[in-house]
Amino acid sequence: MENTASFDLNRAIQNWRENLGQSPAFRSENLYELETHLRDAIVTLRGSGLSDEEAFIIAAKRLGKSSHLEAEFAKQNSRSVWLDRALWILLGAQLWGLANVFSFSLQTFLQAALPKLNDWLSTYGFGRVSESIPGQVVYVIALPVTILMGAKLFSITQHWAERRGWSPLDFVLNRPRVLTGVYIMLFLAPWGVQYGTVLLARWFALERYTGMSMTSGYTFFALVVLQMVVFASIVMVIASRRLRLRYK
Amino acid sequence: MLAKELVAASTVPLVLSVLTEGENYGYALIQRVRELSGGKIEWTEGMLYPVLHWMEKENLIESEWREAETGRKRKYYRLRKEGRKALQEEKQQWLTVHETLRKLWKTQPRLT
Repeated sequence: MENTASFDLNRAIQNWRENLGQSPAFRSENLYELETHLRDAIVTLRGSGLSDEEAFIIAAKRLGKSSHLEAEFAKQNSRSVWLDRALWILLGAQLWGLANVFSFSLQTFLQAALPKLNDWLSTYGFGRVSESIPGQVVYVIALPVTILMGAKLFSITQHWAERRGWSPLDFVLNRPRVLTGVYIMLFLAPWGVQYGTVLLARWFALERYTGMSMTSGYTFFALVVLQMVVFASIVMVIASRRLRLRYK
Repeated sequence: MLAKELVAASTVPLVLSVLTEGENYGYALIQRVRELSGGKIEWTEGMLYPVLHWMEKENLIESEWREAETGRKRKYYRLRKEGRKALQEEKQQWLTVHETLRKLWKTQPRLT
């Protein structure tokens, strides 16, 4: 039977290398050396009469499972691995903070808006929502929903972009200045969410709103800016070093 | 099939010994060991490279990228003075173990 789908060896090697390259355990130099080894092995196996596909499968298997290779290379490139982890910890902390602030703002806004909401519901003949439900219930529900929705949105965006041949995550992670800019946006976003909630509360004339105060003073503002500069600088340094180590 | 602990323990002396024959690159090192052992020593090939990098950090070997006949660059490794010294120490240790076992098992062939 004829094999209608011909095997593209270079494509297979490229996919194999990209798969390994997802891990911070491998530097660019390591990947190049492993690829050279793979190609040498394929040449030898083809010399024994195997097809491109057969030679690739056997050569890749002899090199070892990617998880085992990753574990061994991570011991040699531990600095690169930890820089990667530090970056994710910093970004993750900001994202967690943003999800928390969003959920808390939703809680305080809904708590303040409940009497007005009940008045509106009564006007149109609907039942009233109990005002004795603790606001924390909103927070406890909103937080995981916010995180899941954020993760889903990210996954959809990444999938959509990859089908067009690029990865937003790689684009951001491999450009220290872009990454620092994203970090600053994530740092400022919670303030934006809180400020937006204050504006909404004022627009709906919610006297009971007890969220963020807009009179925190210049000292507080200066401390926030200082914190942002310190953390953004740390992100910039880590991202630059990570890039130098991985793509040396 | 050799026990994996024995394969792991013998990797450094094997690499150092093969490099005494002259500089070499990863794939060729593996082929040489396979040839010498009659196929009995099978390394998970990718695992050799972290060992080579560790040996380089320990100043036992040094490396150089050079263009191969295929046009791609290849990393060649060669022995350093410290590596030759380490090889002598490894040799002494393995010979000690071999001699002891030989006496216990009363076998004739010697490891030279």
